[in-house]
Amino acid sequence: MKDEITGLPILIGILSQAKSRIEREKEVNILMAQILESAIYEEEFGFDVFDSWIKSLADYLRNFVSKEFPPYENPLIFVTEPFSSLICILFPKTHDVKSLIKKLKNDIEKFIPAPVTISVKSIKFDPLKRTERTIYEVLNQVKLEHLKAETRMKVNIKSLFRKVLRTAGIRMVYQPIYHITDGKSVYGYEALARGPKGTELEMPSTLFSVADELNELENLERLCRWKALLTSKKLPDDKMKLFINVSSKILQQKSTDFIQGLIENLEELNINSEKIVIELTERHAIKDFPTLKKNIRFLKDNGIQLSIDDVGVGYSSLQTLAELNPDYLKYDMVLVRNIHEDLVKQDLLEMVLNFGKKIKASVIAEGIEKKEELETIKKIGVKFGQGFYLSHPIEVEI
Amino acid sequence: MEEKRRILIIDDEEDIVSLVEEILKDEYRLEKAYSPSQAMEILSKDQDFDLILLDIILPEKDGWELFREFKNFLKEKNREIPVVVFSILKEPQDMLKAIKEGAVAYIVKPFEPDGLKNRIKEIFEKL
Repeated sequence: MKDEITGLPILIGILSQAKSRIEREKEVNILMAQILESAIYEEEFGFDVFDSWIKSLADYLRNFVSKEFPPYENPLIFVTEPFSSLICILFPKTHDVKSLIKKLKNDIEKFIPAPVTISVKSIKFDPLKRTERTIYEVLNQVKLEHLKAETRMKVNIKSLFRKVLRTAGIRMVYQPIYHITDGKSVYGYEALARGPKGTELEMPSTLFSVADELNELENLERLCRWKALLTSKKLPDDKMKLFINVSSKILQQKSTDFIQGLIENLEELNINSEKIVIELTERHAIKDFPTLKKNIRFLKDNGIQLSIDDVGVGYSSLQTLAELNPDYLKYDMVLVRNIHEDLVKQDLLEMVLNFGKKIKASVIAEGIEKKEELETIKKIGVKFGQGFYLSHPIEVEI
Repeated sequence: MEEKRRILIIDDEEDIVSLVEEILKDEYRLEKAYSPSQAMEILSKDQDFDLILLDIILPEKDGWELFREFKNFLKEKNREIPVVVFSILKEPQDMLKAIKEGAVAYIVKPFEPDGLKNRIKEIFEKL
């Protein structure tokens, strides 16, 4: 019985093996590595990306085991349950645990962007107790400790977040969107918010989910909107389109305060509303469609355009998207990844492109990281693209 | 002369199957299954196909389930046959499923006869 993501055995299948090890060696160590905050990261990056992190963690640990432990020690590496982000290694007591953990932490930090907790516990053989139960007891204890670590992290993050909001401590970076058909000229910029450098809130995924949890989403969005507009004046060419992300939650509120605030901001900063594109994520299910539609109409009446993010991996059907009357469709980066090797991804893009033509929306391919991806996308007929292969987000100094 | 490539088509609509056969018969050898159970029966005896054309809306069970079933079966036999999903469903969510299951292409029905011929040719070129 193997786990589909990591290819590692699942505990239940090797339980008797683990049991006899413990009974023979009387005491063993068990090392457990787990990606924390999985819900947040999975939702932000999609499960494909999250799975790939679990897989790379497993590959790294498998390699680590074969390098660090002599084969006669026969270390067992396994997952506790299928699809879990918790990977375990059972090994003899003789190793220096502290230096092991240190080395692992150091290495893993380099290739997994989410926090990973590593802990080691010993499992002792007790002739009066059923060994299987002892194994599960230790595992449950560790899971609880990891949960506590997660909670501690959250408390710190919350106080940091309040400080960010108080001091307006958000930076904006701008990802250029290019015309990809005529060589490479800039068509516009997508404004992306970053929390304070080097903190847990630097990544927008954590920043926004913490805001949501603290019921401060609207305040954060307002701050980001203001910063995005203000800083955009320093961009090399400020006549370009400016894409600003707004969560669909905000646009499902009955009150039009947020949009009115946006229009006021534009007037204050003397920015033409026609260069503004509101980018709406499609990843969360839409609950109040009529209100969303009404708010979008209000935006459009004021000359602001609409872009739909994450097209292809979202919940909405194309018919639903058509009703929002978007001007741009952003084709999700997960579907751009290695598109040159995947005919179905190409079929999907072609279909979205045809759909775009029908509803008069331009398709923008996101997350282009390779030359081959760019070439395939161009060949299919997409006019606009963004991604690290074309350019990293740029920072402007205030 | 090079031997013709073999395609297994799984679709419960007889009209579609005959149409596909008409379009492809000059260049390929076609085997036909009109239900999931018939498909499994054929595959259990004969795994020597170059491509499987799989409809998604089928009687007995849905095409995705059948897809997983024969994928696992072929894996045990150490065989891998590329699968082209062939469906009237055309939402991104359906195509996304095809990507996750590991299909090599997605053809939306209805199709133009020449379009189908060219697509199959193109798929074989890229495999």
